[in-house]
Amino acid sequence: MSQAYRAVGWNRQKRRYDATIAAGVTGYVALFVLGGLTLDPQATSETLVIRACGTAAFFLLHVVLCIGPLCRLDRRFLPLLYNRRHLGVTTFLLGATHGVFAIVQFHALGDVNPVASLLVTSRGYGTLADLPFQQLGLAALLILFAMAATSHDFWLRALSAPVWKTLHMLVYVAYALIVAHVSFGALQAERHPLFPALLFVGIALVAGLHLRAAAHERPVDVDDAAAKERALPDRFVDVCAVDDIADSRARTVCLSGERVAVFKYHGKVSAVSNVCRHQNGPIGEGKIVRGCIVCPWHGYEYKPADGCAPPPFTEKLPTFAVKVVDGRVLIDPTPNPPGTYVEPAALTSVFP
Amino acid sequence: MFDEFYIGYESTMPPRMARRVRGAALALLALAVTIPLLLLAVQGRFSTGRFEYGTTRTFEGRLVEFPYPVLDVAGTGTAPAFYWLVGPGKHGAADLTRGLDGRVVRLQGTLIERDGDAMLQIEAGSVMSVRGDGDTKSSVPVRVRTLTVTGELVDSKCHLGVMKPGEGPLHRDCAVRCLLGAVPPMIVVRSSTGIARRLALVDESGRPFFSDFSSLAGRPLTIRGTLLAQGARNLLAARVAEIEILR
Repeated sequence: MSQAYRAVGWNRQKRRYDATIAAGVTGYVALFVLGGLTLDPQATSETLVIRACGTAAFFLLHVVLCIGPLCRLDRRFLPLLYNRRHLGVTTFLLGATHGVFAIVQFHALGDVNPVASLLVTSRGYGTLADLPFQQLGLAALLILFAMAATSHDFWLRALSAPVWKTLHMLVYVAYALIVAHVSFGALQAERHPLFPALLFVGIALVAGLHLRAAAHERPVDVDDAAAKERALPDRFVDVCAVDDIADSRARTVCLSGERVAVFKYHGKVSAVSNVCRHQNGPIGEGKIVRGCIVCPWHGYEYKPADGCAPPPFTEKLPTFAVKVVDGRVLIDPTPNPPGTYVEPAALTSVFP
Repeated sequence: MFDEFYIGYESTMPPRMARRVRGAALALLALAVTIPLLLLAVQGRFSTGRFEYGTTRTFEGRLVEFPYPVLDVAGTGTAPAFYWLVGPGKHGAADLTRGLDGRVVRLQGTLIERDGDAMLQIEAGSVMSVRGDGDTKSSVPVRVRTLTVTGELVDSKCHLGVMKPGEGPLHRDCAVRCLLGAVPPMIVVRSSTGIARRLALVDESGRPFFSDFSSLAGRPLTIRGTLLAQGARNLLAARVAEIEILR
């Protein structure tokens, strides 16, 4: 969290993260190109660069897509999420290198502009195998470019969180396009069964982790129906026992279709929206640190009583009226406007 | 209960998280070594074609302009009897050899060669007539027999060594651009043992073959045509209507 925009707010962890990415990518490409030239002296370096960068980008995209659900399933993976955008930008750079080399090799120095050649040469002839795979790759690359170019928090604020989030959810469209690009391109030329097998494993891994993460979240949402049944005449809903919430932590419940993070801290209980204003991170998986709720994804902070980020920051979360009766936590499901102060419910039984 | 909490802008990471992240990073780095080795092990072999990129040499011989530019030389032993001629990039050599049919010329070129079939990429402006015996016109192709072949239509420049792969679906767009740029089209017919025989494709009148190559290039085809001989070269004369695209 920083007050002013900087290109990258470097710290020790970020440097290690990026050094690991750089070592992995450099090693992958170097091994592919040098190993390829060694194993097959007839190989050409430009073709090996195209293949190295393309496969490395596809591999990294799988890593990027798996980090999210992994973090939902096991919080110990959260440090991989914090700088995930660096992986995303690296994925784009590898994809762009793959694309530029391919365009130069297959489309440059001809009778038309290389980009025009890319767009008009393949037209498809009625069979799946004839699908113009290069255009699919270009479309995916354009999405990855838009994501990389807007990955900085400056763009998150400039575009607004919903627009930014929608734009970045296009990564799944890009993934589908790249799967098609590979299926109707490389897999039409390379006949070894390992290629489709690897592609299948990748798709299964991404899809499987997302489905498992969705199943993991489901109990929270199912509780919504049960909560309606528990609604009291004053609209307050019994959401859990005080003892169900660990100190300085939260329990996430679903009320009227909205997820609410109920925090217990310093002998009090407060409830705020579960959706971080930064990137929709799960506030309820955060922790109270130095008196503030800290989002587990990128460390955005909010005061639990009013949902406001501490000055000079300006982000605000909707808050919820809360009370504690007989060791049970009761929440009014109607959200208050973002930044509305709500008196925390005191835990008199715990702190007499 | 697991209660470690990670804040990315702080300088240290909780120990159990650090162990998990270290394990994940090592696993990913191991994959970054394993995956390229696996892919290299199973990818198709590269062709034996070669392109002496960056090396130009001087060649001398009698220039044949039609149907495709060729330099006939007095090849002996394993030396080529002729070189197909192409221009730089995705272009044929027609513009660079115009009006020189039958003349003995000297030119600067870069060698492209595969399985004994040779080609030169001509340096623009390097073709010079060295003897004025322009009355000697190149030989006219003569009919040998009708022939039906199955193979792939390629652009000869990439196929002979400029590109790897210079054939197949990945190279299709490049082949189309080269063929539209007047690089000689060839049908590559492979025997059951994988040995390739290449025939330059001409139209039924023996002129350069031309079509919208996008539906033909890089695809398996069956062509019914007439085998022609022009000196040491074999050509296949066919009409577009007699080309069947195999799905």
